[in-house]
Amino acid sequence: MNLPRTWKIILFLVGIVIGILLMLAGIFKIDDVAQIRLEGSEL
Amino acid sequence: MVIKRLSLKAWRRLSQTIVGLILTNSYVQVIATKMPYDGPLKGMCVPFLNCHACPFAVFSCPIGMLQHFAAIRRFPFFLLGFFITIGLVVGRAACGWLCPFGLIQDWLYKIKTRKFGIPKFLNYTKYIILVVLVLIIPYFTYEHWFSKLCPFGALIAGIPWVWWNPIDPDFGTRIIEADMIGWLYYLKMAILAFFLIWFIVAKRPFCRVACPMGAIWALFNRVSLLKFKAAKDCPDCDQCTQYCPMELKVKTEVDSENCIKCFDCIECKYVTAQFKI
Repeated sequence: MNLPRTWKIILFLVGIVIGILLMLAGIFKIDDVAQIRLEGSEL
Repeated sequence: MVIKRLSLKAWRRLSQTIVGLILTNSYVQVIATKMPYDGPLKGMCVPFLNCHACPFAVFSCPIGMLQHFAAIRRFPFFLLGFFITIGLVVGRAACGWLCPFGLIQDWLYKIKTRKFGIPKFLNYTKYIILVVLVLIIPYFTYEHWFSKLCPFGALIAGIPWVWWNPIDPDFGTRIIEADMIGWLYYLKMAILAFFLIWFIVAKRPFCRVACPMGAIWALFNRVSLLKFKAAKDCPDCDQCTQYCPMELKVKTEVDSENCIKCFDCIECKYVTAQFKI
C-alpha cells in the first residue's frame, strides 16, 4: 500500500485495538465462546 | 529491527512438534475417562487447524468454532478479534511455526520421489472452501461440512476413535457403533489418502490449496508487522524457492498470500526479516 507511514501506523493501531476489543467482547459473553459443540468426530 | 540468521529451522521444527502437536493434544486422561476433554480451555482456540474431536485435544479448532457460529447464526466476536489481532502482528506465521498438519506435510515431502508443482490458479480454492464449506453451507444447513470432510480431522480424530472405540462409561456400549461408519467416513478417508499422497509429491498442497485457516491468515499477510525483504542486488538465482516450503519466489512473492513466515528463506543472505509497519 502506498499510504503515508503515519497513516499506516494509525490504521495498524486501530486494527489491533478493534481486535482486542472484539476478543474482550467475546470473552465477556457477548457471544458464547464456551458453547462449542463437541458432538464428536463427525464420523 | 532486523532479525539475524540463527538455526531457526530447528526452532521451527521444535515449536511445531512441542506446541502444535504435543501440548495442544496433551489430554492423556482420556485414556482413563474414555471421554474427550470438555473443560474451560476447550472454549478457546489455537491459531491453526487442530481437530477438537481428537481424543487428546485440549483446545478447539478455530475453523470448527467458525462453523459453529455460522451454524447457530451468531456473530463470532472473540474469533474475529483473535484473527485480526494475530493476523496483524504475524500474518500467516502460525502455519509455519505451529500447525501440526503443516509439519506432517513437511515430513512427507522429505520422501525421495518425483516431485510436482501446483498450478497457481489452485491457490484460490482455499478461499472458496472458506466461504462455501465453512460459512455459507453451515449457515444454511446447521451442519459443519468442512469438519465432516477435513482430512486432518480424519487423521487425528476419525481414525483414532474408530481404532480405539472404547466402551462409553455412561452407557456401557461402544462409543462408535458399527452403523455410524458410513459413506461419509469412507469419503473422509479417501480425501485424507488423496492428500497424504499429494504431500509426498508436492510442497504443502493442503496449505496452498485447501486450508481455510490459511485463507484467513493470508488476508493479513501483506499488512502484518512481520515482513520479509529481498535485497535489491538479489541475483535471482531461485535458491530461495528451493528453501521455501510453499515454493514461493521470494524476490517477487515474499509476504504474498502463501508466505507462511517460516524464515527458511533467510538461509539466503539476500533475504532479511523485520518487524515493520
